[in-house]
Amino acid sequence: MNLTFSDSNTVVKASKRQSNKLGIFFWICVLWIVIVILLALFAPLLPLNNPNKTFVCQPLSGPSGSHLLGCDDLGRDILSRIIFGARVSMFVGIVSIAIGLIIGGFFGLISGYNNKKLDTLLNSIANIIISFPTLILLLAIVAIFNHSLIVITLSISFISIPLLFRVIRSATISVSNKDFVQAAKIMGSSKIRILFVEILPNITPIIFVYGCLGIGSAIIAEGTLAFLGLSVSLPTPSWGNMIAEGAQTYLKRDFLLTLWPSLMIIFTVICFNFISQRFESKFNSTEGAI
Amino acid sequence: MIKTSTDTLSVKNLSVTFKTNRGLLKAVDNVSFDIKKGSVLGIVGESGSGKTVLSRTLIRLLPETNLMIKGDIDLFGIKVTDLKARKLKNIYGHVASIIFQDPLTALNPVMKVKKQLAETLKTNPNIPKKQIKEEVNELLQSVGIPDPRTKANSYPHQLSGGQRQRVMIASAIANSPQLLIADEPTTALDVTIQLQILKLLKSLQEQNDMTLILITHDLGVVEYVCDYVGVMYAGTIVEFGPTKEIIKNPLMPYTRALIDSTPSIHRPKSEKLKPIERMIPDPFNLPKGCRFAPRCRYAQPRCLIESPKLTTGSGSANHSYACFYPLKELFFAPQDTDLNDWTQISEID
Amino acid sequence: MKFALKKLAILLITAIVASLFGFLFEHLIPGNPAIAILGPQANPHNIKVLTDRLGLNKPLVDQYFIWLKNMFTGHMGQAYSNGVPVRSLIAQNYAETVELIIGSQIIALIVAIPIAFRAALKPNKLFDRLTTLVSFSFYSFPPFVVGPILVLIFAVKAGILPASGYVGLSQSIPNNLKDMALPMLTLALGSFALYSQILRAELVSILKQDFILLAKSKGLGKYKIILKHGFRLSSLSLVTISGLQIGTLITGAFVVEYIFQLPGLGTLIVDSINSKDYLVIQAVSVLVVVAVALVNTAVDISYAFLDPRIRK
Repeated sequence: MNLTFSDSNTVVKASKRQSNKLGIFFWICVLWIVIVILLALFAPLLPLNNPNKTFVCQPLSGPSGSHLLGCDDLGRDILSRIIFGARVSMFVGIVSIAIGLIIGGFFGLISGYNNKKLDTLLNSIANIIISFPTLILLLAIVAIFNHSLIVITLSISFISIPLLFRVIRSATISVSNKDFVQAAKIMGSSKIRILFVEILPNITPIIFVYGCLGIGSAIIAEGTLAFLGLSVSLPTPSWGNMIAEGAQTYLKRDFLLTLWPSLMIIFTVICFNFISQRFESKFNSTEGAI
Repeated sequence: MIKTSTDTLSVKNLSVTFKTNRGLLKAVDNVSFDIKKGSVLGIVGESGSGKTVLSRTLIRLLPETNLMIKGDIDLFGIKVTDLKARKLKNIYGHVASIIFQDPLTALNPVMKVKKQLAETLKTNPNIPKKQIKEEVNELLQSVGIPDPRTKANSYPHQLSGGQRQRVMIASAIANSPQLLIADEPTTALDVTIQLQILKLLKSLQEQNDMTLILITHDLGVVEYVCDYVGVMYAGTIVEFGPTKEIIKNPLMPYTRALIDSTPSIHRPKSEKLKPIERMIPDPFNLPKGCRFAPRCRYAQPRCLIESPKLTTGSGSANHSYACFYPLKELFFAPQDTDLNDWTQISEID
Repeated sequence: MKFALKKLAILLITAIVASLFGFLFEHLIPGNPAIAILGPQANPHNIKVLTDRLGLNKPLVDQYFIWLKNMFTGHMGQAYSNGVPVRSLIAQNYAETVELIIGSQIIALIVAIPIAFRAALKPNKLFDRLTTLVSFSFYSFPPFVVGPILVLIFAVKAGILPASGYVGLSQSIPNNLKDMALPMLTLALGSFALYSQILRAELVSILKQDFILLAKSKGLGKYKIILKHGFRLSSLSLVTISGLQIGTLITGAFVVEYIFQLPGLGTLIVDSINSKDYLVIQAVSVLVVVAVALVNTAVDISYAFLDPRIRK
């Protein structure tokens, strides 16, 4: 469990092999994520059993034609629980990072561009929040409020704000030192114009790289809370609470209960990380070519 | 430990090829020379001429993955090219040593000077452990470091550039090697320190009757220290002989061009410095014929088609050169030939 | 010295922020903190006593100093769910968490170091690519996914190690280690991935440097060069990273405890959240934040001793 971008990014960096091609695995990952998002979006429209309805099939019966992934201990359809679980993971992952990018990005831009005092202040605040362990902050927030989907999403976005702020701030600093920005400044463009027309388009690749990395981390954060029983309340399915249910009681009798949601979370997170990594090395190598 | 048996360092038809992503790169091409023990050989050339690769290959210091070495190296009776990789460490330090250009990167930044020197001394089984501390101090003294006891306790970054280079020299001569290779030992130093380091190297060489191979791009340094000089261009040796003779009477136009472009060399005051025109050739795309021909003011059609071999020609027996039209024979040299014409001929060809 | 003082100043600031965080935690809970602490069924008399003791009628600044004094003197109150003092709850539970963390780090390092060496000696060859891929995947696996998989393999299928249960270290060392093996392994996996990749990258760049070549030309053996010159320098980045990820590691340990139902601080805080035992949540959180800050300061200062270039 971690939402520390710096750590995972060092691994990404260390294992990075610069290449201009995105490669076949990149597109497989994109395809996987598109499928998961579409399934999550249209879950209620799909011909699936109600994920919370018990005894639609024989409890702990393995995969069969009518229940592709089998049934859990209460006779609920695992496939439909997994697809409805994707709604939680994807919602938390995408929405929390989107909020984090909007707020953290906004402050990162104005902080990184030409505002010494504000920059020092915002940077110190970000550093203080970052120095707190992520899970402790999440647990404290959940303890004070409750563990509804909205609180979880907002608290994860709260934690992502300083991290994304830092990334976008340093990108802004490096871009604003480039010649074309200096030229625009001399030619008298307004600050807002420079920020949004000159700088923002140049840091979008970085936003994308860290956005993807962040979504992966956010999904794991939600999964961790769900596993600890501190995300959406049962019986609403989420990948994390499905793993917990399966692992704590039924690992011996039917490990598939644990396996399916584990695979979902692993594939989805690896795909987000991989997309981020490929995109970063492509961005770096094209930048080097110019 | 491997014992030496002869007193000649002999290199025969040595070629070094790297396998790279762009294809094969022949960094050293068919190089041969002999030198006697106790003499000083300078190897001169521009960056990229292969002099560093040559010097490191002499003691097989380069990582040998994606590397092909052809030819023979006979280091005072030790066939270096035939040695198994794990036996190599037996010649390092005791038979041959090397010092590098930048002592700041060549000394371990997190290890005290005394530890780095002791480490070298410990590879010599004849030195008792108790004496190592004393030996380190003596060693530092012998390379002219004042107050060796304090300096031995320092880290490299706490020393000056000259002192660091002295420490590296100390480490290289610690086990009295018979061959010392100095790869641009003064390039990273201040001008005032350069001379001190060269003097030190020269005196250490004389005291210990050590063979010294000095790699440099500065003919002035060569003139000051070396008995013999080999001029390298694009991986080959183009002129080889006694330093005095070569500087006074260069036969190969490239050597001449080098001399004319070296500020520190003795020359009549009336003569101006002349830079060598154009760049060294791309090692993946070497010119046909003589490799220097496209830059040579005296090039003739033949030079662009055939490549000259290293010969002693009509001159003295130990002065060899690779040129069809050595300078003294060229009485009516066309001064400003339009080289583009020649290049076109070779391309059509 | 100046360096150390600066780091200690940062530690002090972090500690103050952590205490504010802990203090405000009580006040952010909706409603009267006294009711929150004593639980919904508290009788009015007790609420009044606690209100007086915490100075809840006084200004916020005074309340903060009363709170700080209580924390320092160990008067952290008692868990309302079972009446046990928070101090003794922490004392009973911290040892297991510490053991889990230390054990996992030993495992991670023992495996990561040789693998990093092997990979760095021949970069981009099969072994390197394979281990990089494995590390990359391990790093993407959260403990709550790895844990059940390891239980499945080692406990359910192979039957070598127990999947649950806990014997204290003081009761029986072999039995304790047997119970702790899977939890430690689960926690070690992420650290292993991180350490092996960091160390590999660092070694690859160090082994290219001139002083490695010089060491070779001195006649030192391959392994001596790598150990004395390569590892010493690359271990610096290992120290930095292990300091940076200590927060992730502690909270990772909490999750692992919950997976294996071990009696540690993690299980304590999760149970307390479920029973709304705010004082316990508060104490454990503050403890973790302070511990993380302490470890980071220690790492920063020790780094200066390991790398002479920073000293001065």
